[in-house]
Amino acid sequence: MTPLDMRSREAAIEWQVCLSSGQASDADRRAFDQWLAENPSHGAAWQRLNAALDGTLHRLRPGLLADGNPLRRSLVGPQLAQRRRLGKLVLAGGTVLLGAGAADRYVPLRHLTAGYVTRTGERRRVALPDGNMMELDARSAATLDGQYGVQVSSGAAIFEVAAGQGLQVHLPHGAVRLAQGRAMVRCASERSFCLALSGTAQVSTLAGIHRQLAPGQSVWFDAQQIDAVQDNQGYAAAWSNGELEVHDEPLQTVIAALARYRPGWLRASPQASRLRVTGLFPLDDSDRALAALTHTLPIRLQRLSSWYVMIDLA
Amino acid sequence: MDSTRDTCFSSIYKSDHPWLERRLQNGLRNREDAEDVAGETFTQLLCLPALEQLNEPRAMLITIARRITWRLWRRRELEQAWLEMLRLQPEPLEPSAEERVQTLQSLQALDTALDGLSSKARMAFLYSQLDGMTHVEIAARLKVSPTMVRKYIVQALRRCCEVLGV
Repeated sequence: MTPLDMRSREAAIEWQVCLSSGQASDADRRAFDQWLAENPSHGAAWQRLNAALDGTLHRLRPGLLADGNPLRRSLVGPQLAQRRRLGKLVLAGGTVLLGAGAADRYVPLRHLTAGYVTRTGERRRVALPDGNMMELDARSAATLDGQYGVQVSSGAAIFEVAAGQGLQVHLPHGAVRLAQGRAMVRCASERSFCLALSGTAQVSTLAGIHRQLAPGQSVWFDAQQIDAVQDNQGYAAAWSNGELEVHDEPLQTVIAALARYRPGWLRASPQASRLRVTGLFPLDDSDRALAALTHTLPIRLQRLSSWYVMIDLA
Repeated sequence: MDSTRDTCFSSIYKSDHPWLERRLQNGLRNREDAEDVAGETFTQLLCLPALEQLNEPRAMLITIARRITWRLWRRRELEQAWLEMLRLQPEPLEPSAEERVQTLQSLQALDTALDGLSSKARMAFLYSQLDGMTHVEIAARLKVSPTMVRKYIVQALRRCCEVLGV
């Protein structure tokens, strides 16, 4: 780039800033026209600057970077903190988990290859090729795995299995074998969940521990072991009716469930997260659910925008 | 490539490639990523001008690997944020393969341009160029002077030009 080109580029930037400042006068606009006409290198620099803006900002779909949305936040967010994390990561030989915090906000990319993915707030019933039915909770992902198998990699699903070959449901920490009837599964980050609704379900961990569940029974399990069986847990499937029913659970559980139905950010402070909640909440109207929570718990909502709601102790 | 350089590279590769890959694997918890980053690191090492005079090849390898990992993370984070945006649309959007590539390229270019600028400078730039806010409005929002807003936007525009080579 010649010194003239450099000067023209600087001038083009100054003009761009001046004209988009909101305070450009008619005199400014006339001066700009004059500047453009003065020298061919000025026009060229102006075009190049605008090409640069086209290549970055203007080629993006309108609204994609709307103020306050996750993408915009990712662009303006504090990258330095992440850099520091990165410094620790490679040099310390790895005790820091990769991108866990940042990636957690989004549905992990690998789920995009899943056969069935539901968006925030979306429930979907799917007829499986073998004639069985699957209903996916919001923000869930499942893939067909052979003729009589389904892999659920995120969120929750209810399966209705007719008499026949049965169905094998693979989960991150094990598998569930359903001969006939209804059962629900859910994937959490470190554990998986299974609830038998009608008919029995056979749970196996990756390590090969088995447990048979009768209707109404549920368990949490990880790759190694299975927690104690709990009875009368049928309400854990209430999401399929658009409801969330909790019995003496931490507020965090409710928030996590509502967040699956609500675009934007919904967070609770650590203190508020630990409050115990019992109740029935509408999933499809999360504003009403939040209002119900504020009526029964010592909490207050901080609405920074419709996209960002923080819950704290009142 | 002359033979000293060639020998030098081979000896670093032989002694340090397994070490780097192990280290990355521990840090990244993902074998494929570790292989990719290690491979790209050595490719970039090969482009260094004074390879023979490198005293601490491992320190250099870590520096390069860290930069590459950072880019990889940012790329994924942006991609995920964008895909999440698509999920949040009231009408589901299925971008074409072409739009996908274009959008990610634009986002990466924008991200690279904004990289190194302060958070306020990045915000000022987007408020001005995307949202069409005036300098006075931006100044009020960011709690800085309009002169500062102007400086921020100039910085960002300069970076855009540099990144896109114009």
